[in-house]
Amino acid sequence: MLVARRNSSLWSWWQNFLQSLLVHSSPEGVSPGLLVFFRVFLTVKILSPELFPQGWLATPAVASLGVLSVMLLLTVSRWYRLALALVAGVSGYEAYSSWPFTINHGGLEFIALMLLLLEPPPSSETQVLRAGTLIKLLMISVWFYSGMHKICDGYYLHGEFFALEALGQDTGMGKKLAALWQFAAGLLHENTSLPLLACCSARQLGVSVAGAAFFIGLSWATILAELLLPLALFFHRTRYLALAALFVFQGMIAYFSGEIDFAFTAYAILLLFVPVLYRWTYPVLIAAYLWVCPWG
Amino acid sequence: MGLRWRRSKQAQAKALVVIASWALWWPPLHLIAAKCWGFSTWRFFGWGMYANPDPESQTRLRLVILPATIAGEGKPPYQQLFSELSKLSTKPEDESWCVNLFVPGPSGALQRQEVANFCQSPEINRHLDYTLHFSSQKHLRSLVDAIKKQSEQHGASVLVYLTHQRLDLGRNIAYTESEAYFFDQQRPRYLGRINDEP
Repeated sequence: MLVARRNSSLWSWWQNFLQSLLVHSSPEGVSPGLLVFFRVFLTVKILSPELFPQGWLATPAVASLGVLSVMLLLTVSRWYRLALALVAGVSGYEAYSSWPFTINHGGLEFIALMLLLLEPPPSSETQVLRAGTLIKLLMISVWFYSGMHKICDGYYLHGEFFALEALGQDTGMGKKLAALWQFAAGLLHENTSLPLLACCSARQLGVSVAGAAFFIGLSWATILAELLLPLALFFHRTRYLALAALFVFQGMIAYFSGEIDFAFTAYAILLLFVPVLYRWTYPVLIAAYLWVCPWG
Repeated sequence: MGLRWRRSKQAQAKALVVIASWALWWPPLHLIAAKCWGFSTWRFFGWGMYANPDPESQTRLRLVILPATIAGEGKPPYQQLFSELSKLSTKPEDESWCVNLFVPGPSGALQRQEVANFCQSPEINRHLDYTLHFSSQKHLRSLVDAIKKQSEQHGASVLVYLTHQRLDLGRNIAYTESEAYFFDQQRPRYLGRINDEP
């Protein structure tokens, strides 16, 4: 009895804490109209790779277009839960079939769909606890925990991760980081050369002091951005600045890592923080997604 | 009817809280679990991608077939052989992303042995992925058995090093760090983490 009461109070405390997090992270809430556009984006994002595996323009199959159109109509109608259930099924199957190598943002999309699907009708009890606000909080946690991982894993504390990528130059990120260093070194009139280091060898490196400082500075800038920008969203004074910075930061992540597919999901959630102009921003994002076609 | 509707709404709200709570609590648990069980932070939705190098690009699998004289003496001299390998592997372009096999030559010194077409099979690639991302001893054992079969060293004992590239920018050096495993006729043994940091 005592245990049950303690559990119940713990549950209430957690619910209250979660609600206060939601109020502070999303003071403007998410309007139903905005959520419809977000649902449309998720439907297009998850179904397009399945319906047009060779690319949007390469395989304009009538049947695939028909299925997508019907799903979009369902998504904006009062039967949207049926559409969400079908899309969640596709997303869940994708995660299951690639398990345990499932890409992380696939999990984020699946959770977002489940939250949208299980959202109860609005009432005084569930006024704060809405799927849209929870999805925003989840995205905040994604950035924050990425920063925590970077501190705890140790590869960022002394600039090791970025230096390994730049010196290896066998990934897109490595090549772009090396180019960024050469640009920065040129501005500082430093020696722009970097030694080439492919896995795995033990030797003297020959990275200049300025080069080491560059990689260490870049690593700490990343850690601080990932930890502080999401936290700054909770405060009224810093909220809009943090939001603008996150739009830029997310673009930089996409450029350097090449994680374009994740960037679209992240931008769709970021747009939930902007309650104006969504009738324009989401169609532009969807058009950009179909144009870039990151799965094709 | 009204009560049932109210209960259904409460259940939905509870489900919403449970899913969101799991999603918020999982990443710190994932961080601890990845440290304890040695799996890659890139996997399992913990948001640890890019926190450390992708195992497929910065980890190499090195296998040493042990001479019968060494293999029979209990714990093999894995640190000594690791140092020998570090000196041997001076040309990174020789290093394969798949499997790097070393055998003792006529003089007793280690020599690299080519393993042709080993990683063309999807099954071998699957074992390699599981080994690199999850440090799975089961899949590592399958890899070791397959390589012993291919190199016709059926009864041999094998030392395995999962080697990562490390850097110390402060001292301007590159070094390697390895997880060492020993495979003989009995259970595989994890020997520990070693490095050749000067």
